[in-house]
Amino acid sequence: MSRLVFEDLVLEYEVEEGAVRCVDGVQLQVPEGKVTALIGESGSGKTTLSNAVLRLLAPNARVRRGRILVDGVDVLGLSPEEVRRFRWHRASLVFQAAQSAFNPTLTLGEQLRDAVADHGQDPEQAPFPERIRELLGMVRLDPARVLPAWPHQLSGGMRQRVAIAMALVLHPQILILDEPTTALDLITQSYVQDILQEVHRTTGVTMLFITHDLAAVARLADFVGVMYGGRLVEFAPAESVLRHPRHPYSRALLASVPRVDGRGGTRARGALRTPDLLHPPQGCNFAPGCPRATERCVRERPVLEDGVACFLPEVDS
Amino acid sequence: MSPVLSLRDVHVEFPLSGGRVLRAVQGVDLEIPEGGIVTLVGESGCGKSTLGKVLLGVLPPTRGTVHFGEVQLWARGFRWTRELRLQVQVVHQDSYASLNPVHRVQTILGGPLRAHGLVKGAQEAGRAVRELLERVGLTPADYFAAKHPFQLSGGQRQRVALARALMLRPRLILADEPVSGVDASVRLSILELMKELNREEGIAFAYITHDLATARFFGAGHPMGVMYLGRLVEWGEVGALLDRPRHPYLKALLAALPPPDPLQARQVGPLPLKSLDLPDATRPPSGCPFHPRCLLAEARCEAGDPPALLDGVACHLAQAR
Repeated sequence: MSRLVFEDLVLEYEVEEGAVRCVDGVQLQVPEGKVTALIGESGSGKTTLSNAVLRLLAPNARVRRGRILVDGVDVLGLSPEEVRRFRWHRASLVFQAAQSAFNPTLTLGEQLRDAVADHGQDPEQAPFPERIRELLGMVRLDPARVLPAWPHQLSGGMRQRVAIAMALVLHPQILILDEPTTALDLITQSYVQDILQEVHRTTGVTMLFITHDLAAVARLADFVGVMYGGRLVEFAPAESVLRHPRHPYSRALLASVPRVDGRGGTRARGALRTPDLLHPPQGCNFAPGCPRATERCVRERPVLEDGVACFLPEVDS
Repeated sequence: MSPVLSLRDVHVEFPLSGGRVLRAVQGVDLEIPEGGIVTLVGESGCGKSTLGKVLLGVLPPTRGTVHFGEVQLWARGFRWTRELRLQVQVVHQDSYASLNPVHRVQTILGGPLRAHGLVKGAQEAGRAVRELLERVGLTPADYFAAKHPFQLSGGQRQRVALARALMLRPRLILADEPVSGVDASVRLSILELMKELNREEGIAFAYITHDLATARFFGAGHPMGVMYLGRLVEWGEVGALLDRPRHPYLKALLAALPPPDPLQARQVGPLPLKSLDLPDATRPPSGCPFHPRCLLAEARCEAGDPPALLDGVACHLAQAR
C-alpha cells in the first residue's frame, strides 16, 4: 500500500475571470519509501499539488473533487488542530528558497527547538537534543557551529541543509521538497544532492521533490511524474522517463532543456505552449500543440494508463 | 576588426572596514569583438557581475584601462557623452526589479526614446515602441504596450527588458543572468531571441551566467572566460572548454553537472575538490587562488604569484602538459 495517494484530485483557484484549474484530476499512488520527482513548467500545478498535501493552499483555492490520502486518511478532511499535528509529524515540506525561510531574529538552534516545542514535545528532553545533533550530522553540519548561529551567518547552501534537517526532526514518513537545489551554486547543488541521497538512504522517508533540474532528477529520483496544465501526463521509473519519454509533451520538455554537452535545447514549434487553465479543454490539453494529435485527442481525455496519459504514446525510437 | 570593448589588466578593489580590501576583479584582460559574443561564467562571488559593471561603464576600475572603441573610458579629461552612453545597454537578472512597476510598457520603452530625443512626440514614440515589441515577439503589440510589468509573466518581462536595451540601438548588450529567473522552457526562447539580435542586428553581447548549459546554448562558437575569485582562470571557445576543460576548477564544475542520464548520474563520485567552500575573498589564498581546494596542488601552487593566464589557462600543472 502506498502511504500517499492522490485520488482524482481537482483544485481550482477562484479569480476575477473565473476558476483556474491548476490541478486537474491527478490520480497517483506515490511509491512508498522511494524518491519521486515531479517535473513540468511553472504553472503546471506541481507546487499546488504538493502544497495541498500539507494543506498549505491559498485562501482562494477550492477543492472541487477528490481526496489526498495519507495512511488511508483524507488530509483534506482534517480539522485545523489535526492539520497542525499532521504537519511535521506525518509529512514535512522544505520550501522553495528555504535559505530565506528562517526567522532572521532567532538563532537556528532556537528555531529547531521551537519546531519541536510547537508540536507538544519538550526539545530539552531526550531524545531531542541528541536527535537534532544527529540530523545536523546527517546533513554534514557541525551542531556546535550551527545551533548558536543566526541565519545570516551561514551560507545559502548551509541554511538549505538546516531546513532539511529541521523538516526531519519529528520523524515524518513523507518529505516534500520544492526546488531543493534551484537557488544554489553548482558545487553546492551537487553537495545538497549528495546529502539528500544520504538522507533517503538513512531514513527511508518517502520523498516527493519538485524540480526543473534534470541532473538532480537523474541522480536522485526512482520515479518521475511529468505535469502539464494541472494534469499528470506521465508517471514511470526515472530511467524510463528520462531515456525514453513516451508522452509527446515529456519528450518536448526534455528535449528543450539545454545540456552542457551541447545536446538538448531543441524546441518543437508551438509544442511548449501554456494551456488555458481557465477553460480546460474537454480532450487532451496538450492536443493543440501536439504533433501527433488526432480528432479523438480533441474530443476525449486520455487517462493515465500504463504510465502515460496519451492515446498515441511515442514508441521507443 | 577593432573590438567594441577592451579591458587591459583591470582590477576592482573595494575598501572594507578595518583597512581590509576586497579584490573583486584582478588583472582581467578581455576583448569583445564588434558584433561578437563573450560569455563569462563562474559561481556567486567570483566577480563576474562586478566585471559586468566595468563593461557597462558604471564602475571605474581601480587599475587598468577600459576602451570603448577608440575612446578610453575614465582617462584624464574623459567625459561621458550621450552618444557613448547609448552604445552599451543592459539586461538584468530580475526583470521584476529592473522595470518600473508604476509605468506601462509603453512608457517604460517610450520614455527613454523621448528623453534621448530619438523620436518626436508621442505618436512617433508609440510607433517605435510597437515596432520594438513586435521585434521581441510580444504581439499583439498594442496589448502588451498597455500592460504594467506585474501583469506580464517573467519571460514576457524579460522580453520587455530586452526591448528596452535594444531600443537605443546599442553596439553592445550586457546580459547579466538574463534567464536564470525564468522558467526552463522560456529560457530557450529568450536566448534564441538574443542570438537572433546578435546575428541580424550585429549587436555584440556579453553574457554573464553561472549556467554552463545555457553558456553553451547561447555562446557556442564564441569565446568564454571562467572566473574564480576575481580572476580569469580559463579562456577559450565555449564548446572546446566544456568538452575539454583544462583548469581543475572547471573540471570540478563540470563534474557537479552530470548529464541527465540516470545510469551516468548515479555513478557520480565525490567532486574532485578538497573543500566545497569558496575561500574568503578578503583573505585570498597565497599563490594560485584555487590551490586550497585543488586535489592536484603542488608546493609551487601555494606560493608566489598566481599563475598567469597563458595559452588559455591559469594553472601551473595544466600549462606544463
